[in-house]
Amino acid sequence: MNSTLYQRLLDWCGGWGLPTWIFDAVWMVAMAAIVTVFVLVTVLALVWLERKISADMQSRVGPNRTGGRFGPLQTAADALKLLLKEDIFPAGADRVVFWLAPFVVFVPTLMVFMVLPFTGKWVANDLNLGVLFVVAVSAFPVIGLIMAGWSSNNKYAILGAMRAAAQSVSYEIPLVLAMVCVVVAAGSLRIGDIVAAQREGGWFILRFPLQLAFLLYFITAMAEVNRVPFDLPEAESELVSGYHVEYTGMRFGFFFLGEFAHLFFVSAFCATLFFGAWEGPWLPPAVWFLIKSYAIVIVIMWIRWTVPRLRIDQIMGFSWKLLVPLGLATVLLTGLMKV
Amino acid sequence: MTQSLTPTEHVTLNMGPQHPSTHGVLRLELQLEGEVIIGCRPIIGYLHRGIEKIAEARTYPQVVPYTDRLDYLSSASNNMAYVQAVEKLLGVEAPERAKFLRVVLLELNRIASHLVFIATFANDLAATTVFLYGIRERELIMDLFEMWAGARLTQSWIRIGGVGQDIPDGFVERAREFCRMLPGRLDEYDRLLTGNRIFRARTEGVGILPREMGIDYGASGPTLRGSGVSFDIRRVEPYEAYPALDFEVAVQPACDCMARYLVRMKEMRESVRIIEQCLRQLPAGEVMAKVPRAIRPPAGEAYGRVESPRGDFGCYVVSDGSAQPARVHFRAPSFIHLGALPRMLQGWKIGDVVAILGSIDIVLGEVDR
Amino acid sequence: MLEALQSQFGEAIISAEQVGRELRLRVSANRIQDIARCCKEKGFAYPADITATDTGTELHVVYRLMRLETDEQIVISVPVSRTGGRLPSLCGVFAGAEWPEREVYDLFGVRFDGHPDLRRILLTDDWEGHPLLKTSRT
Repeated sequence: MNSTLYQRLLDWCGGWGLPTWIFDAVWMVAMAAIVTVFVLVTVLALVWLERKISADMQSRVGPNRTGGRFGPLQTAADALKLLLKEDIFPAGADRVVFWLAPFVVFVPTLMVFMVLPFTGKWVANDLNLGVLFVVAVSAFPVIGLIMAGWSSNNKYAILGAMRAAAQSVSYEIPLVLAMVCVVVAAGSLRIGDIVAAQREGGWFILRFPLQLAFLLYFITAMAEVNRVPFDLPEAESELVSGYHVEYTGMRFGFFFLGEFAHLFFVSAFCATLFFGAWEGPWLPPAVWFLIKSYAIVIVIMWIRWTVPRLRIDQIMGFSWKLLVPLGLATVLLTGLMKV
Repeated sequence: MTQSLTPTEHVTLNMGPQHPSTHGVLRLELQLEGEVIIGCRPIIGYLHRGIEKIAEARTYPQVVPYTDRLDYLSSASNNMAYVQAVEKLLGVEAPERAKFLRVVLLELNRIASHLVFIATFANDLAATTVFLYGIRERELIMDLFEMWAGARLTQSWIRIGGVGQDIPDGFVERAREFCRMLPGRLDEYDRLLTGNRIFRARTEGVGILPREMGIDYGASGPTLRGSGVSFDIRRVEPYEAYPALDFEVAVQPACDCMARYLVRMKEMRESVRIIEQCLRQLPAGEVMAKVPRAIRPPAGEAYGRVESPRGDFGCYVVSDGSAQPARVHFRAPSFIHLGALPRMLQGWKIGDVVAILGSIDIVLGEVDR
Repeated sequence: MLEALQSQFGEAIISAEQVGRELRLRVSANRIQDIARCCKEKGFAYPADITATDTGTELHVVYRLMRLETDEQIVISVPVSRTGGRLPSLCGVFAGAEWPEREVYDLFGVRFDGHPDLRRILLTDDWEGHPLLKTSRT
C-alpha cells in the first residue's frame, strides 16, 4: 500500500506507545475489509448487469422493480432471500466437508484481490511474486467444487465435480502459459512491474505476439470461471446445477458470490495484464480501471448468452490439442522476440 | 479405464421425472460407465390420464377437446386425426373452405411446435437466447390462434364435419404479416445455431438412427426424414387440401441430430409457403358440413392419419353404432420414438442425452395419453 | 398380396377384406408371427401400430403394417380370449413391436410370449387389473 500513508499512520500511532504489531494487525484487517466490501459490491453490480444484459439480448426487460426503474437493488433482495432460506442438509452428506466447501471456494477468490492494483497507489499488497500468487491461489476454488460435489452424496453433484476437476486442470496450463508470456515481456512477476512496462512501451495487447497470449488468457479465463461455453460443471440443462445441486440458502449464495467475484477478478486481471490496468488519459485511474474491467466482463457475458455449450470431451480436446500447443508456441515466440 | 488396478462399477443415474431437459415428465434410468451410457430404460406413465378409456364414455364430439391434450404443442393435428377417422365412419366430407382452413391451422400448429423444438433444443445445449427468440415468435402464432379460436394452445377447432368458426376479419392480413416476417427470423436462427461451430460439434454425427432401424422401429416424421427416408403422410396419403398444394418434403441423409434439426427448419419454411398458398386459394363457402346433431356412426372401424410435427399420428376409432365410441386408440409418434431411444443412446455420453432426446422432439402428453 | 398370403397361410386367414388402402385380415393367433414375417419380407416393414379392442365377448389385437413406398396397409386382427389371452410376440420381427405390445399387456392383459421385457408401461408396476377391458369401470 502507499508507504507514506502507512508511515504517517504508523508514526501517529507510535505516539500512543502501542507496539507496531497491533497497528499492523489493524492495518491488515482494514485492507481486507476494504477489499471485501469492494468485491461484494462489485458482485451485486455484476449480477444485476448480467440480468440486464441477458434480458436485453433476449427481448426482455430484466429487473425493473426493486429500487427504481432499473431494479438495482434486485441482487440485494435476492441475497436477503437466500439468507432467510431453510438450511437444508442432505441425508448422507459429509457434514464437515459439506460445510467447508463454500468457504474453500469463496475465500481464495477474495484473497486473490490482494495483488490486484486498483490504481497506481491502491494495491493491498503488491507482492514480488504477484503473478505466481494469482496462479496458485486461483487453483484453490476447484478443490472447493470437488469437496462440494463429493460431500453432497448425489450423483449429479459428483459428475459436476469430476467435470470441474478435469476442466480446471486442463485449462490451468494454457492459462499459465499465457501469463508466462506477459511475465517474459515485462521481465518480472510483480504486477506493479507489469503495469510499469506497459506504461513505457505501450499496452501489451498491442505488441505481437501477445495478442495470442491475450486470446489464450481470455478463453482459459472463461473456462476457469465455468462460464458458457465451459459451464459443464454446472450444466443446468443436463446436471441440474451440477456440483452445487444440494446447496440452498446462503451456502449456495457463497458459490454464486465466488463465481462472480472470480469473474470480475479475471476480467480485471486481463485488463491489468494486457490493457495497461488503470492507465489512461483524462479520467482518474480508478475510473479507467473500472471501465476496462467492466468492458471485459460485458464481453464475457455477451458470449455466455450467445453460444451453446461444449461437451466434456470436446472441452478437453480443445484444451490439450489446441490451446496447449498454441500456448507453448506463443511463449517461444515471446521469448525469441524479446518483446 | 484401467480395469485391472481400479475396480469400477456401473453407475445408475436417474434423469427425471423432474429435470429441465426431459421435455415433460419422463424418467430415464441411465446405466453409466464413467460418462458413457451403456444402457437406458425410459419409464413413462407420469402423465397417463386414461384418455382412451375416457373417450369410451363420451359422445363423439365430446372427445375432440380431449384430443387437444395429447400432443399439446400441436393440438390441431390430434383433432384432425380423430375427426378424420370419425368422418370416414360417418361418410361425411368437410366443405372445401373448411379443408383449406384446416390446413392453415395445421400448418400454423406445425410452425409453433417446431419453434418450441428449436427453442428447447437450443436451451438444452445452453444457447439460452435462442430459446427466448423461439418463444417470442411463437407468441405471435398464439395471438393468431387466440384471434381465431379463442384459445392459445388447445384450440379444439377442427370438429366433426368442418371447422369451429370461420376466420375473423383481419386474420388473413395478420397471418400474411406473420408469414412475411418468419423467414427472416429463421435466418437469424441459422446464423446463431446452424453455422455455430459449437452447435455443430454437439449435433453432427451424434445420435445416429440408421435408416433400416428407423423403419423397423416405426419411426416417422422429422426423426425418420432425418435418416434419408422421404415419408410424409401429406404426400403419401394426402388429406384435406394437401393434394392441391405445392410444397417440398424436407429430407436429410445424415441420420444425426443435426439432420433432424435441419429437417424441422426446412419444414417451417415450407409451412409458410403452404399457409400463403391456402390464404390465396381460400374458396368461399360454408365451414361446417351437414352433420346430424347426435352423431351415431354405423358400426365399423376407421383409422385417421395425419403428419403431425412429430410424425405419423394415427387415430383408430371403432364404432358399435351407439353415440359413444367403442374404442379410440391414438398412435402417438413420440411413444414409438421413445421405444427406439435406448438403442439411439447407447455408446454416447451424458451430454449427448439431451441432444439426442431433444432431437427426436417428444411430447409426454401423447406418449402417456 | 392377398393371394400370396392366402396361398401360404390359407387356413389361418379367417377373413379378408379390402377397404380403401387397407387390406383387413382376421387371422388366427398361432400363425401371426409367420404372417407378420411374410409381410415384412414382402416390403411391409413399417410397424405402424399395435393395439387391441374389447368387443365384449373377445379381444381383437390389431396389427397395422405398412409399405412406405406404395402406402399400402395391412391391418391384421387377431381374436384373443379376454382372460388369460396369449399371443406370440412380434419383437423378433419388428423392433418397434416392443413398446406397443407392452401397452396392450398393460391395458388389456394379453401376454406376449417371447417378449424380452413384458412389464406395465403406462401404469405403475403394482397396478391391479387391466383398465381398458370393458369390465373395468371408467
